[in-house]
Amino acid sequence: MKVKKIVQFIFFIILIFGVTLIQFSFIPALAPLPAAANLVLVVAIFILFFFDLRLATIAVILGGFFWDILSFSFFGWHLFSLGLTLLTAYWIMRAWLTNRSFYAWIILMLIMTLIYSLLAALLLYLFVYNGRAFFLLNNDFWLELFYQVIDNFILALFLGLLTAAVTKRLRPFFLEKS
Amino acid sequence: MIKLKKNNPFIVAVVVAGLLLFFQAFGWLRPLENILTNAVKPLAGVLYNWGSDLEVSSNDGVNPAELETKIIDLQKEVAVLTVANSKLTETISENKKLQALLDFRASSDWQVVSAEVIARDETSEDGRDLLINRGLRDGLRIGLAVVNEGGVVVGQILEVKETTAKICLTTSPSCRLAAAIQNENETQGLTDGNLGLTIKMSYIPQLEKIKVGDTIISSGLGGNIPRGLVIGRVASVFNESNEVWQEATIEPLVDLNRLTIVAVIIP
Repeated sequence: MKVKKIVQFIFFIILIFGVTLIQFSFIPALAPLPAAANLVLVVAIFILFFFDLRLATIAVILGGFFWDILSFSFFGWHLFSLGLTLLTAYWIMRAWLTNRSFYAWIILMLIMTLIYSLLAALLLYLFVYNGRAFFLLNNDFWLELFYQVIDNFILALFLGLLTAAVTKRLRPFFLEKS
Repeated sequence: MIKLKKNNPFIVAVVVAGLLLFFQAFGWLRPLENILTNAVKPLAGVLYNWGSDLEVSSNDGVNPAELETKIIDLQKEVAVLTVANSKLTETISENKKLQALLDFRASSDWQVVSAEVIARDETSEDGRDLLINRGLRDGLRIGLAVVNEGGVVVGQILEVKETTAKICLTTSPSCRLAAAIQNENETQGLTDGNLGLTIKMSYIPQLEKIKVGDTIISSGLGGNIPRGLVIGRVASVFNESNEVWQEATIEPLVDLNRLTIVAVIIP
């Protein structure tokens, strides 16, 4: 039993590293619209929504750490952006989106894309581009955010439909009485 | 409100993240960083190539003006492509680039380090900076010139890690090179990127004569980049009589979106 869990955990680590590597190398090489996709964020929120907080936290630490090691941005940028987004997602799930419906999944993903973009840009502004024009006044930020919302929506839609097809974790209704 | 318990994953996460930051600040994570980076570099290069190929093929279909010509070209290519295996074609293309790079290395007096593009840096100002699979270990340092397989300058090294480096492209505003025009006086100036599309050459004295089509080369000033490397060609000249300097727009000679293999020149 213990061996099985260790094997599962190793598989999980490889999966997260694989997703991060795709995010790091493959996605940014694409055309501007698909290049804005954030696969690591979508996978982290997916794990939080369909599994549990503990596993999602591990995914964020592993993914964020690996992404920070590979990239040339300051160490901790991805780790903290993803971590804070996960914390917000958990709070939203506890406070508002309490059911596990398809709609809740899509709405959560869209809100998290917005929050991640704001957090990541704010951290980058504070630690790297401090002194330049505030990122909210930059057209490129809004265009990138628009692209990312579209991309992450498509990814969330795909993952949501896939999950609905293979498991019963996703319920078809919108509101659930507690 | 979120209730924080002793075994709350967030508390564990904050502690782990804090420890990672602490270890990183003291450089204790460097061995792990090198192992991980070295392990994934080959795969990262392959993934970047796939992404880059997809990007190029999607761009090819966008311009309607060139569409008709492209259809005719593509019809001719179909005959070839059906015969040739796609993987084999890719290998041949890569071999050609490497062969050209070897020729360039053999013909140059400087040390040339070949490198593969492994990613694009999304945090750079114009999002066009590239990451290559060579670093301090290979003798790279900030400011060195990066050329394509034909020896044309495509960028400059911005940052270097142990096994990887970040390069800016010549069309990026952060990429500044000491340049010279191949004219009678070998006029000198400074180039930097213009909106990620073209290169702008400034600080050209007002009295110097520049023609459209003149070749721009590296001037060799600064010491990091040898003199004589081709940067581009003059596309237009901005000359206003009330200005001290004149400016020129330089057209890059290579498609910077298709870079997968490059070389770093160490003078």
